[in-house]
Amino acid sequence: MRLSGMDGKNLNRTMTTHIFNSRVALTLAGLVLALGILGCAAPPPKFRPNLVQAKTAGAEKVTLASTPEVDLPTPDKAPVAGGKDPNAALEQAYGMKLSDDAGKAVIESVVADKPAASAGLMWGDVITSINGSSISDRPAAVKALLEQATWGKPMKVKVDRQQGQQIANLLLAVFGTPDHPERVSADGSPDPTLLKSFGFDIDKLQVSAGRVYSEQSGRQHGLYRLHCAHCHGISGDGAGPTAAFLNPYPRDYRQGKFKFKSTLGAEKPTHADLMRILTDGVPGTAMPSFRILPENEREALVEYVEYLSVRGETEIKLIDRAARGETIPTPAELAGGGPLVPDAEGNVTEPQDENNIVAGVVYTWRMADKKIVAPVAPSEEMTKWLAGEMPKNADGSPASADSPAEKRRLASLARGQAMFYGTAANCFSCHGDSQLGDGQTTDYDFWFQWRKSLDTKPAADRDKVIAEFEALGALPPRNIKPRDLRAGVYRGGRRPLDIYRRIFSGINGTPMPAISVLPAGAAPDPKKGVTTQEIWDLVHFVKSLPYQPLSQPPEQLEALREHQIQ
Amino acid sequence: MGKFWSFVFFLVPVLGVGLFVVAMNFHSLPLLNHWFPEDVSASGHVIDQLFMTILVLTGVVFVATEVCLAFFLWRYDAKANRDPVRYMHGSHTLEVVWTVLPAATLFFIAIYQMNAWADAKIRQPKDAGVIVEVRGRQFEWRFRYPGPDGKFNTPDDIHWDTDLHVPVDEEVLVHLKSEDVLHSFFLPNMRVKQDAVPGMMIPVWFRPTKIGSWDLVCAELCGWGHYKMRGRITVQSRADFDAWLVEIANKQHATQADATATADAAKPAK
Ligand SMILES: [Cu+2]
Repeated sequence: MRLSGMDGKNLNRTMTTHIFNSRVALTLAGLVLALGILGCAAPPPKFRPNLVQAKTAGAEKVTLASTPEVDLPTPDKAPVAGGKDPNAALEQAYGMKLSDDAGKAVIESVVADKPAASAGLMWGDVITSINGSSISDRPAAVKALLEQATWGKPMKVKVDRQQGQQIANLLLAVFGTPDHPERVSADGSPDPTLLKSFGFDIDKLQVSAGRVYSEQSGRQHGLYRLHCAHCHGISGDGAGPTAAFLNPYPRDYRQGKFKFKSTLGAEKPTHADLMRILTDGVPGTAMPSFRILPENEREALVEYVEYLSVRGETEIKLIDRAARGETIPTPAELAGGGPLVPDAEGNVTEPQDENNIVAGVVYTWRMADKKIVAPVAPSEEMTKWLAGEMPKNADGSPASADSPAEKRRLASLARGQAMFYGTAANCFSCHGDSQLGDGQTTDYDFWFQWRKSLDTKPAADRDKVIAEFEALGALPPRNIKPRDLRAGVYRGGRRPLDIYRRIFSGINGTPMPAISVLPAGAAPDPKKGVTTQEIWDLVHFVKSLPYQPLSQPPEQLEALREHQIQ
Repeated sequence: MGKFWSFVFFLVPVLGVGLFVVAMNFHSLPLLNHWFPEDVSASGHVIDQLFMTILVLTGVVFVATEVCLAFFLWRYDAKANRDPVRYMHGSHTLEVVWTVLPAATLFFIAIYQMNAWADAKIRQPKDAGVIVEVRGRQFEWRFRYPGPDGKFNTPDDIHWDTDLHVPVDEEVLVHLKSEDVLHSFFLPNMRVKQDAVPGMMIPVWFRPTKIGSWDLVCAELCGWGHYKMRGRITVQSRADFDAWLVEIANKQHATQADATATADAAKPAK
């Protein structure tokens, strides 16, 4: 069993140190970047040589994450509990337990609203001094806290807080590592029950994770490394070795934001959505179709992507809390809130305890099937237009522009066009006056926002800090271009259904907003919004654009060639 | 020592011929199926025949040359050979023979292959049963069928990728394009291989003769993901092919969540 290797651990420490150093202001964006590294609890050196290099290059910069000193209130009287294990007495007096980790006095747990917790001590803190005298091991700490305490008077407790390491350990305790997606029980044996209780199919995760090999029977293992990791990264951070060549960059699953899906706004995609992306690919990007992989392998990969996404989102939330100076949950709290058992309607109860971060994230995934956008049915005529069937005369020849059927079709296109330029949809402001995606070209991706929000002290260190982050996997900023609607390339799928959903709920994580839809029964007001039936006119208009003469590429070359050959 | 080397050199033709003989046997291990992949096209046998003719021609020359080499090494080994050295100033007859013979052979091959070349590259079929646009891109194959109106670039075009479907026993006319860099459209079982060149439409045609599914690969190193650029060609009966086209066209024109999506939504969350 290979767990978080030293490389991974040191790396986490290096990275977290960067975060908690005062010279880098804590911005969430900066943190999210750092996750790329925390994300690889055990990155195989061959996959991320840049990270290993960064580790050795920055090794001398490693300092303590933080060493807060707190005033720990004591009760008026000595605790009555006692006996062989002093933890009972510590719990009664302070609401905390100490464990002995490599001789050090480590806070194993704190109870909410008890002295230790209210003083700000956290799970995982190592006690280094009490009332000025240094504490080297657990017995010394116990002695100072129980025997040398002046009851009723607070004592000064200094701790060494390695939050990066704490977060890495927390993730390990729930998710295992991306290579071994199961947590490890106290005796070192794999324990898949926790992930199972959150609804993950462990067999699917295991066939996707780890090294690439195939059984004698032909069953392929290590599917994720074989097909995905070189772009999406071992931890799903979207920064694999080939990521820097690609435009747009591969998806970073850890954000939990997926663009092309059937669900509303920022909701999670359904399992079927991810299957569709995997099967059809994303035209216009580097994501190819994996249609020829057997269905069971695609299913396994989708399950694993969900696992990486839940793991990554949990990590982001943990670091966010650490950065805000809030308490990090204990392993038990983090893993709590499950199992998420769906009721007869398929609904899952939302976990209420904010410390049950994993359950909270899994909940959003399990509820995705309930958030699917089901478009209003278009008219029969509209369905035909959308399928490319033009109005015809009785003899099968194309209907002329003044025939009633063709007039209705042109009227629908005109309504769509009016919406395109109208204030409610406001498509033209980004997609351009001529729909070429050139309306505005000043939107940038995540990495630009991240650079902008990076606040270094002193400011002169900015370039150096950026270079350090780049060595750890940060990517250069990229321009986000609105889609050229005349190219006939639809990243999220070319079905009218897909385009309806893009317009209706926007594209999550991009500047593409949801259209404002008038409430049912409201008086039509083109300034305020559109009706769902009108969205079909807009879909119709958008789908017609690639076939307008303006959009057609000159085909002389082909014509010439065919002429020569025949 | 010299005689030893003549034996080593003699092993080259022996092992070379042996390798071909073993590979040609369809049941041989470890070279199982390392001979031609199954030919399932109407004109593949012409290509195979050409290959075999040229293989025999070059094979005979190869064996003769190698045997001569080994013989001379053995016969004129410096240690064993006590004959005095003889000098000669060329043989006009010999030079004429070794110039005329290869020239005649090459001329024969040039004439012999002309018809096969014309059939494969020049005589574009007029009665193609299906026309399909194939576009290579880094790193996958994308296809487009003209739809019911039989014309490309109209709203009823049918889009697909990776698994090229074609009807059996009909001429398939491919309009081959590239979206980015050079690729090569290679159907080993149809004996078809053609580079896809950016900015060009290159017609490629073949007539599959057997229902089934075979490889489609990229045969031009086109970037870091070249090895991933695998596809399939699925040959179907005309009826199955038509039904399949209708099925994917209906999916492509969907305005409502399809049956599977609804079923997914209805089944309890895992
Ligand atoms: Cu290629």
